[in-house]
Amino acid sequence: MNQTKPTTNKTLVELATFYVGEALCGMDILNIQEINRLMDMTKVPQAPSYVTGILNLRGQIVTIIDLGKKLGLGSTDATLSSRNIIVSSPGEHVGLLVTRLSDVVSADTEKIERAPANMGGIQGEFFSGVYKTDDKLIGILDINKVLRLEEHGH
Amino acid sequence: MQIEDDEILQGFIEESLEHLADIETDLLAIEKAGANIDENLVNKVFRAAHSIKGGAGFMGLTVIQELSHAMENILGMIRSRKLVPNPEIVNILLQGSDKLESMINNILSSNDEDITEHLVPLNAIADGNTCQAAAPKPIADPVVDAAPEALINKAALPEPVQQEVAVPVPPKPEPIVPPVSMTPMPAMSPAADEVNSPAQTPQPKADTSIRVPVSLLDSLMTLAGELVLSRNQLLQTIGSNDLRNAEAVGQRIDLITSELQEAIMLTRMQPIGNVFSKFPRVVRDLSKQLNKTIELTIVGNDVELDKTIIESINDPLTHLIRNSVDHGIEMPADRKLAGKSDKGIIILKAYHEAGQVVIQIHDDGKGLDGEALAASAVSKGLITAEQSMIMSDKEKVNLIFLPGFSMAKKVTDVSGRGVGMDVVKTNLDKLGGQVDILSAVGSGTTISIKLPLTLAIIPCQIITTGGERYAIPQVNLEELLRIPANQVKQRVEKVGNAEVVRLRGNLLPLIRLADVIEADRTYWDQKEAGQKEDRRGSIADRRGKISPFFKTTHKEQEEENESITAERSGTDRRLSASSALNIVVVSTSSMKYGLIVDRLQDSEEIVIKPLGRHLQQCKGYAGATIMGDGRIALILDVSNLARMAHLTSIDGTDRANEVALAAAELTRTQKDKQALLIFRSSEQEQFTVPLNQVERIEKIKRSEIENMGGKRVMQYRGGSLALVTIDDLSTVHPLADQDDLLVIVFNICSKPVGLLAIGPIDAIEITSEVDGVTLRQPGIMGSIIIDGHTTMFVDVFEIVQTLYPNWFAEKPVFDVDKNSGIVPTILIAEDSNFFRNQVKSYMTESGYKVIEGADGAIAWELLQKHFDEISILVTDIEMPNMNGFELTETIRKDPKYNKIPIIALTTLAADEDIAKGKAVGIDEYHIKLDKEKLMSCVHDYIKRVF
Repeated sequence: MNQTKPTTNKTLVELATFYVGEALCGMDILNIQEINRLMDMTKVPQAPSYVTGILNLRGQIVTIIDLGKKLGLGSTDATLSSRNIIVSSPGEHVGLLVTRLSDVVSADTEKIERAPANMGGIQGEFFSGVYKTDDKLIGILDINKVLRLEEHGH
Repeated sequence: MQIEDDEILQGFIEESLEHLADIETDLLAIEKAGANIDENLVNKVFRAAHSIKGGAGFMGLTVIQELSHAMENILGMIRSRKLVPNPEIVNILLQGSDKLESMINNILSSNDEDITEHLVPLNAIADGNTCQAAAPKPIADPVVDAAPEALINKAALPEPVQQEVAVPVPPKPEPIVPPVSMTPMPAMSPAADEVNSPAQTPQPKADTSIRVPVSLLDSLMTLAGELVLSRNQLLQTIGSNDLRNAEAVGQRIDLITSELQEAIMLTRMQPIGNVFSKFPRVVRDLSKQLNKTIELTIVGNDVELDKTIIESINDPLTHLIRNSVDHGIEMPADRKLAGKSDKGIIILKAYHEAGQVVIQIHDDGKGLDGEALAASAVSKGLITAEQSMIMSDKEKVNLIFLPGFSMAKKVTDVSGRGVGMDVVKTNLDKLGGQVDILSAVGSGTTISIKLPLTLAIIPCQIITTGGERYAIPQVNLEELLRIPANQVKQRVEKVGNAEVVRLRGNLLPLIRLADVIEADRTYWDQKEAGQKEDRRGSIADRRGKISPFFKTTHKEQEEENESITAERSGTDRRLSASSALNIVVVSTSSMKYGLIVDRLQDSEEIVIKPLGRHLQQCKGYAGATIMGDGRIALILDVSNLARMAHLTSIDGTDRANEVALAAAELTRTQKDKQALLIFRSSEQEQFTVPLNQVERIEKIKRSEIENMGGKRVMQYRGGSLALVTIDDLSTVHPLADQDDLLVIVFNICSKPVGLLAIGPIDAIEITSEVDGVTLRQPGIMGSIIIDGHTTMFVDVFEIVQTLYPNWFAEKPVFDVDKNSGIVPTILIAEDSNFFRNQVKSYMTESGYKVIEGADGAIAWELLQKHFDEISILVTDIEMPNMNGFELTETIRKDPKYNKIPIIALTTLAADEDIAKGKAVGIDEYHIKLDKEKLMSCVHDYIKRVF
């Protein structure tokens, strides 16, 4: 899960990047099960506010989390460009609803820096690091932190 | 130690555990047989020990080998009759097998175990100095104490076997029920307490493999083959665009899928005997420890249940059985005092009932004292004293399941039970089971657990609310109720903040699903086939409200205006079908309530899927399922919904009680309801009989009627059925001359008798008054107006009595007591003239004297005035001024009169009424106009009095 962990002889990690609102985030592509644009979700009354709904992914019930809400950036609208990034979490799959996808970036693990306390309005605790490309700054999400249950909902 | 091959090791573990499971049962049988040694049985145990020894030797498990060798030695001696098995020897062997089991479960550390404590007594026995070396007394303590402890250890805290063994554990079957986070069950005895406390997180021991009959696998294979064929057909059909064929293929796939589903379910089915088999040991050890004699009878070992349920039912059952042994069955001395055999009886029974499996644990012990339980619940502040006043006995007994009830040890002193029962209930709830206690002080307790056959696929009722579909498990479903818009106001009432609906005389608390789960409140507009936002404040309020606090959007405003104009133009929208209430009446083990939903849909078999952990906090759902269209529907957890709505059964009763009083007032003023069967004998006249007298109705041809010795008979269920017509006795039109006839079968004098009639027949409920004068004639009790038709009330009893007087030869007419000359007098309280006269005629015919009162209050005065004469009271329930219940209560409160037998007469005997009647002190319930039963009951009571 830890994006900064170098593989045995490579120091490159492929980051799938995407926008949550206006913030550019990324995660190790190996954490991603699939990306889809299924938006036919079932609402779950009384669910934590960051849960958009549940989705039938080939017979599996997948909880969809609005990444924007979870990171404190406000809700993500389901638009033509929005996507669900399905990641595996212990015992289940969880979908992360993002505003739109961006490129896959090969990042040198040694150049990943420690995340600042706050990045574009997002609490630093959700990031495992930041990666600077020529023109962009990618916040690398710590999936475990993002998926961690909060004590009293959100 | 080097374990060479995981597979072989795993095989050894599984095989040995199987052997050990048998050893236990067999050892108990050997103990029972005593000197009368059954060689086959001993041989079987011997071979089991031998196999374990052999396997262990091969695997290099020296300690296991050593212990099984020592056990084998003794078994060998028993086999060759050098040794007579007695309880001490069996005890030592049983402990040995327990130790073996625990070592096999922790196989990697087995070689480090110290088994001297087992080897010493085993070898002592082998050396021949059995009973002397182990004198009965010193042995009894350590031995008997240790055994149940080891057992509890096994039952309550399964060791995490799988983790330690390096064997790939196949993923556990879908956690259908969210993993039961079992709170360790509060123990009953101090000894058990110590054992239980250390393990806070026991995890259910799941078998890693399962035995499936080859024949079943074969049929699975065949079905899979069929499925492949059908798929090919389907693909072809899709290619050729042949719709007709597609339908056929669709049906085929449907069929195969269901068969496949059933077959796969079968592979998961395990006999409940797997769980039951350990209880003889539990009961044996525990009863020894407590110095009680208890016989355990097990029935229904071969009833099969889903593997998941079998695994999780173990703990709750152990708990209940231990409770029965520990607290249910009294000490032998106490039992003798109570006039019971000193040997207690526990019956553990499993059987199928209505698509569910019922497990019953019955003991003939001291029973639960509802009053004591209620008092204790009040003292703990779990319920208020007022609440306890209005609770039925059954409700009181079920208080034992209240969380918090078990916390205080005192309960044990007061009533004997109540320890950890809430945990038992919670665990059973999670399995979708229902638990119910029936108990009578002094004569025993019966606990019934109803379990679904399987958890994987369950039938559900699908409903819609707030635009989303939800599934309600069929097991929780009582009935579906639709209240038409124009009745909502009369039937739904508001008590405090709670809304209740009147359903067949009872009040049912209502919950609006949308409110509980905070979904959008909508209603379904049938005319426009769409859902609309619902703005009703309360259910009974049928007018849309514009609240000043909510800004109404322009569009909504328009809508509102529209509806107002619509109302004015005569089509009141409030009365359209859309305002009707759809209520799903659901029951949990503790209560029943109505869930208001937007729309009712089909019933479907669904596959339960667990919800992700982010949704675990939503207590209202038991899971989710995928519907035919691929979308998801949430499965509702009805007991949690009730909790979320702050509805507890006690609350419900409390609230409902206020309204019940008002409702009772209302029904009191109403007349009795009668269920009647209407039929004809000729085209011109309509007849009726009370529906509850009718046994059944048969359609016959005239040619089936035979004329024998001047009587009409027909063959019926292997005998002859006497046939009568109304015109045999009464002056009415003769039976219509037609080929198709009906035979209404009655049971009179325990003989079936058929009344010939013709259709149309109908069953109705009516409250009209019967006129017992105008049309009265032999065979006709009177007349009643039904839907504008004068209908004659047939007295079948009288007809039969006249035609077959010999049937009544033994009719017990009360002889005036020759010695005292006293004629027993019966007091009848009944408001309807017709019924009163009818009942009176039964009584006088039988030779009794009758005093009649037109309502409860009058009857009470009469009773006080004529108490010396009156030996029995026969009362109606629904009467003005004072009803039957109140009359009974009044009588029972007065020590002077409280001994008098009270028989109640009802027209529609609802279970609740019967229960209520029993509670206030009614001795018997009888159906009005069921002369035979009523009279035989009266005779019985009179005989007792005289």
